[in-house]
Amino acid sequence: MDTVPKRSDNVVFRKVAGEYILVPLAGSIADVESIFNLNETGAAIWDKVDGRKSIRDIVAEIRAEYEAEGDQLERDVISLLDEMADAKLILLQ
Amino acid sequence: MKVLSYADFSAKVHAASSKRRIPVSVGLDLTYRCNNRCVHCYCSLPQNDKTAADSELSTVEAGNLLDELASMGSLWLLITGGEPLLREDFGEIYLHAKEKGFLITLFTNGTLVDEKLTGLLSKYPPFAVEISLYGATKETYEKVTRVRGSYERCLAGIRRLRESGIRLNLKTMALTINAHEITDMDRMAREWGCRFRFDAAIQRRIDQNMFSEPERYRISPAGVVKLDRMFPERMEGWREFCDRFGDRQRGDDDLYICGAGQGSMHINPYGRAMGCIMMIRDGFSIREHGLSWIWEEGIPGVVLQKKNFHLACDECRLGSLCDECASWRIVEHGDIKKEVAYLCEIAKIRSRDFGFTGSVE
Repeated sequence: MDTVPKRSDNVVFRKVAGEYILVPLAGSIADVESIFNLNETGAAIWDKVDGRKSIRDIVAEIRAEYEAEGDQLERDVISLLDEMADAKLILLQ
Repeated sequence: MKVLSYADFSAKVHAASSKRRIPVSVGLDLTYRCNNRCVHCYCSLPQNDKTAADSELSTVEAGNLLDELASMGSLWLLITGGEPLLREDFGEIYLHAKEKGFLITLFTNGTLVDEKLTGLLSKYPPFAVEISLYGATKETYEKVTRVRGSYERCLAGIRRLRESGIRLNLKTMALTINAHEITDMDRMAREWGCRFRFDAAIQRRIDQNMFSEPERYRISPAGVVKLDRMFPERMEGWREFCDRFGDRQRGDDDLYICGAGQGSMHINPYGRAMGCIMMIRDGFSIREHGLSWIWEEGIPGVVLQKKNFHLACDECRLGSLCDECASWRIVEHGDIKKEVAYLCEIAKIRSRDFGFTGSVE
């Protein structure tokens, strides 16, 4: 939970026609056959990944914004960040 | 997080963009100057045309334009020309577009593709590069480009891009002087692992210059349809299109029926934005108007006009087989009320030979 996620320099976040997407710029993840598509909550989480906030901070902010309780939110945030890290969209440091 | 296939994502966004009028697809001519002198080109100017170069968008203007397009929701960016690689700041503009998250397609004649460019494109891949191949042989290719040595330079560019693993498609315009080599060009493309397409609808120049006379190189309408029939995939494409849009009558009162300016726009080298590249009379300068005004007010004022005159095409049911539109009429005749007989004839022959749609009224 103390891990601080940082966005890859090789990714651009875009909102296009109501869709939130992550567009890879360079290297092996610049695969135009697939597009990383976020829902609104995912976009809010991405917005908080700034290289300074820890996962704990991000969970707390999302919890406050969405007035969510329980452990599910924490699991969802961690799961999304893990997926992003696997896709090399963020670094976990 | 969903990982969507590109096809699903594209269909979803394009459907949403027209309804909500978001310019998701933008064409940007970086220059009309070109190092080739193709006989059929609708826009080319000499590569050393200083007046033209001085009028083109500066690097800063192009960067600001890309910033504004990104903020308006544009995603697909076609960089074309002229020969866009003639711009000394091409790399800078390309990188700027990449950093804004555009999916970039680059149209080029391939002759200026060097290792510096393939280095840039390898590191920051475009969505695709498309090279125009004007002939399968040196003799034919250079009869079209009118530049000695251009064939070898084009093949070298193709080789460099292939070796760099950059997604490359090939295409051509089918002309009286190269149509006999279309099947050979298709074979070469297949051997190189590239998709190949061609178009035979040669439009006149969009300006009054005489550097080329495209209409002199049009294949006859029967010849165009003969080419269609030589390519089973092309025939299948027509069949699918007719199944979807067949028996389309143009009797409504919309002046523009193609959807240009609804989810797309085109911007010329001098910063004139319009619904499509052929709307030559109806552009708006981004130097005089804000881009958002052009998109919200200027372009809709053109593309949503109602037609207050009658055309023979209004009763024709071959709309899905015909390229004819208001912009074509303007470029062809300078007269929006005068049909393009050449396209009409092609559609009639297609209809008769393919047997896809109903009778001509």
